[in-house]
Amino acid sequence: MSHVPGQHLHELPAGARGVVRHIEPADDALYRLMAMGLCVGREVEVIRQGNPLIVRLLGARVGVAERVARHIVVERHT
Amino acid sequence: MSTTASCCPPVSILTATSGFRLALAGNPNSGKTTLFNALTGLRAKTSNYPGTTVEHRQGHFTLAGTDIVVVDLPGIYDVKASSEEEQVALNILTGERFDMVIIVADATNLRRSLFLTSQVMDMKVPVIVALNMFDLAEAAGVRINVAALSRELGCPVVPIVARSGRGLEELRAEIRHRQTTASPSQVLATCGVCDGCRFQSRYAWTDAIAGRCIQQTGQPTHRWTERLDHVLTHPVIGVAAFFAVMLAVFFLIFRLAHIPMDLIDGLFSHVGAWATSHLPEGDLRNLLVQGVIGGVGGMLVFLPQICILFFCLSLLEDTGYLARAAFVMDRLMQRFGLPGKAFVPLLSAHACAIPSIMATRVIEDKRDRLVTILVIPLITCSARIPVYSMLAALLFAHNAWRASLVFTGAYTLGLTAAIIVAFVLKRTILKGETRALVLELPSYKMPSLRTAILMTLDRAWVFIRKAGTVILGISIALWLLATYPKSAPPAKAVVLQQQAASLPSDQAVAMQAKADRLISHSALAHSTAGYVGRWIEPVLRPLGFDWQIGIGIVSSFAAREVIVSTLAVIYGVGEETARENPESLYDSLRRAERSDGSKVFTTATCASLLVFYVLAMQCLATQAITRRETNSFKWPAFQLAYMTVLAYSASCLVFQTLRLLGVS
Repeated sequence: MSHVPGQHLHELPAGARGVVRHIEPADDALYRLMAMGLCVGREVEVIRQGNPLIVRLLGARVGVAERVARHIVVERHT
Repeated sequence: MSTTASCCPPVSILTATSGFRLALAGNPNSGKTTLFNALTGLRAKTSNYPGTTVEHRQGHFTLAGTDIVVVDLPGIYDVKASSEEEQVALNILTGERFDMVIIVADATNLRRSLFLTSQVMDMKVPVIVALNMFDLAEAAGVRINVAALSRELGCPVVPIVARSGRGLEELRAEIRHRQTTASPSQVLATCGVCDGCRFQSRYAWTDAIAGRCIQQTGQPTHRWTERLDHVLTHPVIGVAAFFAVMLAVFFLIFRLAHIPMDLIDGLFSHVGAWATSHLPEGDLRNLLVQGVIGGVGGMLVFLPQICILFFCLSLLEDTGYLARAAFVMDRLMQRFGLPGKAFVPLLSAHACAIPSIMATRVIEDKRDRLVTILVIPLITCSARIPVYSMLAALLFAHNAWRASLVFTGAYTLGLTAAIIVAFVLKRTILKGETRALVLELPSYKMPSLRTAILMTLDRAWVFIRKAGTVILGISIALWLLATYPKSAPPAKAVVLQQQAASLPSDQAVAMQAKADRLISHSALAHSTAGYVGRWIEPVLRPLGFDWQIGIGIVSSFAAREVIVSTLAVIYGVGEETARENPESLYDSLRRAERSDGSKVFTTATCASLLVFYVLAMQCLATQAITRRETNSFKWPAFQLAYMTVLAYSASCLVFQTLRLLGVS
């Protein structure tokens, strides 16, 4: 897999916003997250960091386990 | 997406064959069920989708003389299912050929609802979009151009507030209108530039529509939700808040439930007393009083707790709080191989296992849910309290502090056993990674009382239907076991009765009562239950139990609290006395001796019996509910087997250890 610039979702600080650049294929839970609005090219915001963490997706707040967040690469807005 | 692929073949679920068929589809938390209740009221039926344990509700209402059948589908995010619930919703949607689908969209978060809307529209069924929670969207400054949205989607869009009933007339009118003119909604030009992610093009489409139809004025976020969540999802304060909430729920259960429980108890003993005095003496009367009336009363007495628990859980769910509870408990629970959503059912089991097992439906993964169901009966429920009270009194007669330690120890043992068994099951027969948390935290809102009441009634009815019938049957069977074969009254009792006849009335009453106790003791000892007790004595001896305790265990197989009244009969106290004055029962149990003169209830035996009742199944109603919720006989059988082995081994260990240490 080629290197994708950015950080993993679980490494971003609270309040950080960015665009999803890459999603590593993983389990069912990740598909649920994608159906909730997490998709390559779309924006995501970290509301609370930790395990699980809270992100904002399409205006909704979603709790996400760290082991799911590890599969998501985000390019942070500056 | 391996775990859920084609869980079940599409089959028809509609009970009515004619009439207009309507489905309600939508994201979880979109207020689908509130709309369903508003449309159908009490005329709804909950049932499982064949071959699964996923529920759907079916109801009907009349519109301009036509009967309309409504199906409330499980909430879905996506038409490519990632859970069993979604799979069932899809099977129903695709297999049933509905005349119309109402998509319940959350107006406060329209973009996400549009994602599902576009997918349902692809199925080429007539669609109406009901924009629910329109008032909340307005309050949050979201302006939706309904006419423009309807034009863009090519289907009717009706703003509603399902909770207050606003817009329902317009929705009904639209359904009526479409009944005659319905045509499949326009299909979207999807996936023109798909680059591997099937979500991307749809999101581009929803963004475009949302951009043209939604205007954000004023504060964009739900500030109350943010502020509350700052506290309630905190890793430390959030957990503390959760325990405070659950403590309040338990306070309500134990504080309020005893009033209707006492009423039910009183009512049934009155009915029993009435039947005793009005029916001719004989086996039929005893069967009616002890088997039927006693059995129904013993079952209904748990109904208040079940109702209060479901009512509270439904309110908490509706406010959006339960999602936070699952969120804060997830990290801890994952260590034991269970998802955060399993915690509320496990905690609720301290009131009663039955509603808790029903409440496991929120757990998405089948294996996670099964493990939770299997360990729930290990947790100390309120039916164990009378047994613990008896044993605590026997162990530490006049030391309240130590007696309370018995309680604490028993509760801890139950919870610990549940956690360990869950851990073991997840690593052996139900192997598999615990489903990772991905959970929407919906905005907080006022709960709907109507939804909570309907939910409570629905669950109460399931309990009566599923558990009630089993309990009634078993209590009749146990009555038969304890009554037949008949034996002649013991000679001592006959002598007492003869003496009573020649004495002044006040002494005669006491003597007659003593004779009655001797007779019932002897009848039980010579009944089938007595034989079974003696027959299993060799098996129970390593646990420190004699045949009389054996009778207690056999008779309380269906409902554990029955052991107290059975022991009262066996040790000649009489059920009535034991109920009114438990101390008299404890005293005679303390004095009870074996044929060789040694005490029956030694410290070792009491400790062993306590451990046995913490860990043993001893509740057929729970088994009936496990059967219903797992949709198989295999799992209740497994539950009974592992709990019996566990209880037996642990009791044996305790008794033998104490005996070796010289504790008697």
